[in-house]
Amino acid sequence: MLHNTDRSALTGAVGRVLAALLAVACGSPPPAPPPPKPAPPPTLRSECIVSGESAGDSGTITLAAHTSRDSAMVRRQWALPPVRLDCQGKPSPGSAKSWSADVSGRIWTLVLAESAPDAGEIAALWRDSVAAATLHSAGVRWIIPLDLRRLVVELEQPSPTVPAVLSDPALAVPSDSGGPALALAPSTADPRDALERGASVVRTSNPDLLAYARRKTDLKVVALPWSRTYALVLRPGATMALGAASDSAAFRAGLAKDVVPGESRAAEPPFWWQAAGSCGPAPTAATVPPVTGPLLYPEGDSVAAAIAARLVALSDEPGLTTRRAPRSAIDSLLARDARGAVVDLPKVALAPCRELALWPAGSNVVPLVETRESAVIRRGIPALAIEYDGTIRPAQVR
Amino acid sequence: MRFRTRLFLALALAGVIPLVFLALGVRREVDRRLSAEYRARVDGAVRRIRTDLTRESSAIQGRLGAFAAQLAADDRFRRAVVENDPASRTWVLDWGRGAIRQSGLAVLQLQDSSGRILSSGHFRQEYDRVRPELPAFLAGSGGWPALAEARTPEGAVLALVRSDSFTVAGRRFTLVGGVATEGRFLGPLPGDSGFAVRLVRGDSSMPTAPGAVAADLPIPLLPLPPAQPSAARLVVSQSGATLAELRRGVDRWFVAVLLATAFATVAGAAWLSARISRPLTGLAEQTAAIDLDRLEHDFATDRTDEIGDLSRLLGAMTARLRIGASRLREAERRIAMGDLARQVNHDVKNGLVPIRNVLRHFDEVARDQPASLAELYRERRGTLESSVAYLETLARNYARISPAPSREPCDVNALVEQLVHGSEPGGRLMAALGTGIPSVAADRLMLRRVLENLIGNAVESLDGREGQVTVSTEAASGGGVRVTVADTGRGMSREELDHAFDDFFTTKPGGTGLGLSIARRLVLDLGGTLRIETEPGAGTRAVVELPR
Repeated sequence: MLHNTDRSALTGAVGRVLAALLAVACGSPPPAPPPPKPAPPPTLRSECIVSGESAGDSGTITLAAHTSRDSAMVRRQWALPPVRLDCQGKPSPGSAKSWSADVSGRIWTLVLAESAPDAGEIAALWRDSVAAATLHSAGVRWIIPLDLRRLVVELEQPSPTVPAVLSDPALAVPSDSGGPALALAPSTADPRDALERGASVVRTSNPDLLAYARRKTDLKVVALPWSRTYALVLRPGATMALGAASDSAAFRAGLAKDVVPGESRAAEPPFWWQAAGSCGPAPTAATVPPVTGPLLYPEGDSVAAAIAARLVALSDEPGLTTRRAPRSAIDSLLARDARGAVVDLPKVALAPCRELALWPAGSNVVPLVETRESAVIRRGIPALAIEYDGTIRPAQVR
Repeated sequence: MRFRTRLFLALALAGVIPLVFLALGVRREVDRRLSAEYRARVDGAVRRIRTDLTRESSAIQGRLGAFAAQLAADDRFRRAVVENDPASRTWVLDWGRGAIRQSGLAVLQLQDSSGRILSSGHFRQEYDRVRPELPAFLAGSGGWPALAEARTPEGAVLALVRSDSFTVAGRRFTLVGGVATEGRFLGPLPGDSGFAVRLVRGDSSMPTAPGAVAADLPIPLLPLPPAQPSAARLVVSQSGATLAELRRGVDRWFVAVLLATAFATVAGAAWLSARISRPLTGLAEQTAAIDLDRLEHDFATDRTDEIGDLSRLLGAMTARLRIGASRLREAERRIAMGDLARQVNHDVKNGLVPIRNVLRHFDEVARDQPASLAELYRERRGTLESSVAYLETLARNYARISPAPSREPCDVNALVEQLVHGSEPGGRLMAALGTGIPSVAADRLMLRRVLENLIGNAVESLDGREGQVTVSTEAASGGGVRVTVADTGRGMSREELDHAFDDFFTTKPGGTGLGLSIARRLVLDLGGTLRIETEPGAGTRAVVELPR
């Protein structure tokens, strides 16, 4: 159950749920409104399927992991959100095989896939803090299991399309329908060593590694979606005097061309944080003192480090420097003694208010460049599906 | 100031002053030697740093020359700068980072003739910034070692820098490279935090602690823009901390030793001065007690030093005084006896003259008028009796001059009280009796005569005027008794005092002049002393001291 206690909404939702229950129990249609027209069963687009030219669809796909995201990706294959977003951001079945909305667009009914848990179990799973916070930040008021296989989601605001939050990994539930599995390859110092030892897939932005893969006939390189947006987050009241116009497309293109190692491009609108509307309390209009301090970047993020260094290099302000900081500490440092930070934001935010809650209220987010990785795939492995954020799964959903 | 005090101070100063000079000397010597050592160390360090700077500068120059040759021959560099090939441009942008890793330099950047940075190893993202200051600064330094501040993403780095140039396709390029100075030339010496090399900018002086030693090594410096090139100095300094600590240690030890020595010296000086001055004090006390009436002091000693010599000299002097006093007393006695004899002769003659005249008259009447002899006898009998009485009185008076003393315990307080109570009424005589007065061995009659004489003189000195006579007793040193008869009379002049004990000297009409003389002889016969303390107009005090 969510946190909202609005009585009128509760009354309406309960009434509609009871009507639906009666319809199911009595076998007679409710008098009004008419039942929503079922959506056509969505399918995974072919553009988002990478064929490994495999003879069969079983076996194990080994992933040479070199980042924590790779490890998380392996874990994520065992769970699916209700709705999957493919590489182009289009919805496709996840733990829900279909979905429909009522005429108001606020009540969405999910029909669960056979491999998914019961609706009651899912509702219970979503009561944990992360899932509940995600739903709450996305404006979901109620989650009600209608029966074993149907789940009703009530939104605060109507949505013309299936709510994006239903694709958030925080809402993924265990799902296994068989098929090939994704596993971590033995760790090596260089991913090329892993490939030479037989690893199936490597995600990378390293030009040397990509050049290596392109020379190998048993490997192919597939570009993954633009998934990360690097932005300069300035504290309220902070400014940076750069020699060139930092918000110009040419400036961003220059960053992408000469600064960022790996594939990158200038960040292009729309930006989800600009379309997110109001999230939480509005920033106070109190006068803030001039903000000084270093420019932060997350530890281990060479792209953010390079961008931050370039910004400092272009600034003529004496004493402005960069400072490396643990990723988990950047938000607290930013609120205390830093001028700003160069951070990577998701290109697509399924719960924008949850993402924005990380930054001090009133922060100025300046988009800079977008990056993406490529997947080096060994020929002959089962087909892989690529999702909106570059996640790779076996195409045959387990 | 007493001799003992002077002796004590002299001994104390004799002990402390050398110690003070010793401590000051040690402190000065430590200062001198350590300062000289510091100076030699600092000067040596300056020479070594100058050598290191020159050697390191040459090494940097060598590495830059190698890079220049490499770049001039590299086709990718040529394509990047001549043909603006994008792939080669990326190679050039990354060249600095790779080259700086290989060379071990801290600063390395490639600039074109306008100062635009083509590649930077220490700040890769500073490409395309136009920074002509550094090549110009190095070109003006004439090839000597120079320092420059270079930007990095994390802050500025101070480096010893050199530059080299090369030409590709007719375009001139400059390589600037350097090594970090922090930890190599600047900073504290490992293991010796007191020795450090610092960079002092401009003409500002580096504050130096007392005892610190420093030396300068001038070197050109280019700070970060917008600052202009300036003169700087590498200041090699040896802090005075060690010296100051050593001084504090010397001072602590000095104070401790000084206190201990002062204590020992003061104690020793007190003991020694007391030991030296004690016999002198004893001699002084014995000498002070010497009086013509008390010359029996014994100055015998076993000492063989100067004190012993002085004691023996005083003993010999006292013996001579004793002999002289005895002779003087004998002479006085003889003179007194002569005077007495003449007086007796005179008095007896005086007493005999009427008798002789009466007898001559009796002879004349017996010869010429025998019948009237009886009548004459009746007439002249009075004269005879008067003369006889005078002679008897005279005889009694003279008899008092030499009484035969007897020795028996005598209570002086009781005697004084008896005399005071039996005196004339009127309340002018009073007693002030001390307590614990011991008995003295004396002839009570003689003592009574002494006190009667003294009291009588005192009462008579009042001369009928208002006044007071006080007889007081007290215990005297040596177990004796001191009796003082004090009056408030007219007192005596110095001349009168000089003759006060002379026989028959009197200032009173009708006085015999024998009272004080007799009293003094009686006191001497009793083994005591009698002295007169008087001032004209202030009364007189007759002090009798009697042995126990």
